Amino acid sequence: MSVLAIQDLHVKIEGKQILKGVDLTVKTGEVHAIMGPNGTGKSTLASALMGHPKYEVTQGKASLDDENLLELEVDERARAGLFLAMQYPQEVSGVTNADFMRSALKAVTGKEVPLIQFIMDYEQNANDLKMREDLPHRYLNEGFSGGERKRNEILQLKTLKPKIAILDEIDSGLDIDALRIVGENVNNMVSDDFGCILITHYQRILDYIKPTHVHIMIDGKIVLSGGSDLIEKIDQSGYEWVKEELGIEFDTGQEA
Amino acid sequence: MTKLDKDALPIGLLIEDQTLTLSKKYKQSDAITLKLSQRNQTKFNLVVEESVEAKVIIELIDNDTSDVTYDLNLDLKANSQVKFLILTEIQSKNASLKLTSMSQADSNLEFIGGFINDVMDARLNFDLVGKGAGAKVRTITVSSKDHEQKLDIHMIHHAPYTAADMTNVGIAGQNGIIRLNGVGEINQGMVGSAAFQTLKGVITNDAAQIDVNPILIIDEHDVTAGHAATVGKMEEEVLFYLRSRGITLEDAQRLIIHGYLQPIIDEIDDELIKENVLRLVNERI
Repeated sequence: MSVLAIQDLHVKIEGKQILKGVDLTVKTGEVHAIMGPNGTGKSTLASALMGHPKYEVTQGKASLDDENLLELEVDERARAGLFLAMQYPQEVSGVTNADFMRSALKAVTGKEVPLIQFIMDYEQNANDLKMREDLPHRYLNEGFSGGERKRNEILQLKTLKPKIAILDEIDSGLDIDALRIVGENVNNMVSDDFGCILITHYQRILDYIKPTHVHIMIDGKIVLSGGSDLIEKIDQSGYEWVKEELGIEFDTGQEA
Repeated sequence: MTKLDKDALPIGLLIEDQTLTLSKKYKQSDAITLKLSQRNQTKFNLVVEESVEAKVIIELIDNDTSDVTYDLNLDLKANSQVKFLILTEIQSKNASLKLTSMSQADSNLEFIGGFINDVMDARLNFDLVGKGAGAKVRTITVSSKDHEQKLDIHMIHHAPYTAADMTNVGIAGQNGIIRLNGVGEINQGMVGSAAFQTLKGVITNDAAQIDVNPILIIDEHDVTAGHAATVGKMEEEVLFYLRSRGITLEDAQRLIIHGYLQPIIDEIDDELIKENVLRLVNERI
């Protein structure tokens, strides 16, 4: 079993304080949904945990098992077992999906992966996600539709088998079929060796991936945690009730 | 090359002084590979006779650091079809390379050049002199510590219905410098001609420098032409993406550089040369 432990995490971006003390513990086998209005720091949490250079951690701790994540480079965090499925995956021209994934798999497993084995597993995973057959030879995300990019993130997730994954709005912009495919594939991965954080502000994905924990994030903090009953409440009445229940004020603003 | 036994050459292949002639009788699908090393020959002419189809590979290796000038001439007769690949590794601190190419009617040239030199001023002139002649030029230039390479590529349309297409990629690391000038010139009356240019540069850090200048000079209305130029530092977001999958910074940079070169390297149909180019690039970056 692996544990991602976040304590009192404070994060700044371009001088602006976004996270103001996040506490969260995620174990393998668990699915934590983090919900909340736009612009409250959900994506900042994801990027900061992965080590994006624009995000500055000013206070707090984050560890995966006995590794102090905050001391590690981005690639070292990945090799420690952390994965981030990005909200807007980059295009990389000239680098094929297969070459990219084989390099990444070699990096995270620390050993050479036999080509045949790699191709068979990769194609099987691509097939599970109903991706185009020429995918391995296409350049990384180049000319991919929004939905294809998101599915490609999940394909990478399935290929690299991290301990803990953060899925940053993996459901945004997906049509109903793609949503089901993505949801089912992630749900099937959850095991004693895999847990995930699902960042979302919609509820649709939660029909396919059943969260064990639900958190509401507002103004850089997790203000409420509970079970799936919270989802229903948000579904019915948005986030306004949180204000009243907790006696706090916030703007349900737009993301920058 | 001068030491070759002339009688041992395949039929239709003639070598005299500094000139290699592929005569009309020459028919070979295998590439002719010539190694010009250590300045035993700094001038070289290739004459490809009418309707000959050929592949010629030249490897130019020179470890001397003193001044040097290389002269290369390609003469492509009517309807000849030639793939020409030149890989230069010249360690001179002041090298100059002049290459001229004359394309007669309906000839086709596919030119691929790899420039992995120290300090080099290269001028490549492609003259399309016969109606219907076409030339496609692909170059890769890689500069690293204290390297300065300038590549001036001119493609000039002297006849109607001629087609010129160039893609030049420069990669500079450390304090390396690359200057790429691509010039396409369509003279008046050269109707139905096409001139396309793509120049791309990528630097791996702020001390490296790349200038790209795409220039089209067109004095005729009935033509198609286009150019594109991009220069950039490796994007932080792309590096973050690749590294977030466990790939080290160095390997991520290497993947991105290979990405830039891949479309050109894919056109090299000789496996050994392909590997050689990749090895040289990797050593530099």
